[in-house]
Amino acid sequence: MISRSQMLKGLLEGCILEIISHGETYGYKITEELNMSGFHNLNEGSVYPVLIRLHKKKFVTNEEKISPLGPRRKYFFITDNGKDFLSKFKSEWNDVSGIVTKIMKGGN
Amino acid sequence: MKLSKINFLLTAGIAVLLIALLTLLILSGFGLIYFSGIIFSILILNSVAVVILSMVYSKKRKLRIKDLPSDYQKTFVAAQEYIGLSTVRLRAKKETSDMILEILEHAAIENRSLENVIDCSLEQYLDKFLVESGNKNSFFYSMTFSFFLFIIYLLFLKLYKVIREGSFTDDTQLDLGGIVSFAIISFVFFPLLMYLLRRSVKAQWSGPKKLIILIPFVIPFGIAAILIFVNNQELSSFLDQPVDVFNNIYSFLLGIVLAIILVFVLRFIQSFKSADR
Repeated sequence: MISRSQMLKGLLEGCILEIISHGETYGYKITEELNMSGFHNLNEGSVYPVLIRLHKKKFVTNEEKISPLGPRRKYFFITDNGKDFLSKFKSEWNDVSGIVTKIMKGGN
Repeated sequence: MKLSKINFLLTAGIAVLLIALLTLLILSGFGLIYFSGIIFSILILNSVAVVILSMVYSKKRKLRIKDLPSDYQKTFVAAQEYIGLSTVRLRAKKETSDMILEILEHAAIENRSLENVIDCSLEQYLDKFLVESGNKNSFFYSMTFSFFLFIIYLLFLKLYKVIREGSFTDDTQLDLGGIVSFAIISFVFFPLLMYLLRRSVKAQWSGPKKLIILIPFVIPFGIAAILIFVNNQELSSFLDQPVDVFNNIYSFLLGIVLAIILVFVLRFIQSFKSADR
């Protein structure tokens, strides 16, 4: 049985960084955007730990602010290191996805 | 500046200042009695400042938790207990706790059910966060922490005796009974207590079952009872034997250095685990 969560493990960092690179955002919003993009089964419990990891790797910084709705939120911003990583991730993804697509087509 | 940073700077700054001043005064042998009064005054002032700052932070937090629906409140309180018992750094505990509160607050606004937010056991949900922050419940970490506690105890006991006597003398030697007692507390009582506390949160013990947590306290009370009530000359002679531990300023300073190294070892173990992921 294919485990999507296993496949996603390596990809989530890149996807989340890409969302953050569009402008300051917060964990809940990032989860919503991932859900709307097609990762319907992803919840905050999968996304926030990745944000912790990205913060430890210094790919993002964060700042706590009071949100318009009231609750405090941690807003995330991409760093220069994060932009470098994202650029490399996109390049690797283009390579790998191209190869996998080619193999899958050949498998039919 | 954030409250947590102020707390940290206060505590770290005062600790470094005290260690430096104490070392200088022990070396000079000057006015230890008066200085001990100054030390305790500074310690008390520092503690009061930290407590006041924590109360301010805690009050703001309590208002946020109060605004949550009751089932969310219970979940958050249970989450706080579990996070509190983890081995991650204090800052990581606070950040994880803040994230969980943020998630619950937003989910409450959207009227989501708790099962929809936390789609597995609370322990499994929180472990995903804590593992990223370096949670390391390993035997090696536990024993290193016990060793750290043991060294700190010996240092403080020695410090007390030196301040009382005014210098390093034969009267400031530690006795075997005290050292063995605290070795048992550091290496047996403390790990057992932490294990039972974690177990109680994971298994959500409640009512009389939660009293199991008190079992490890038999150890320190048992030791105290033996030392006070058992009237055996041979045992007393054995336990009263003097032991040369930190018997001069240089070995004392070496003990402080060892304690600092152990702090870095503990932090390294935490970073090593999270770097694996």
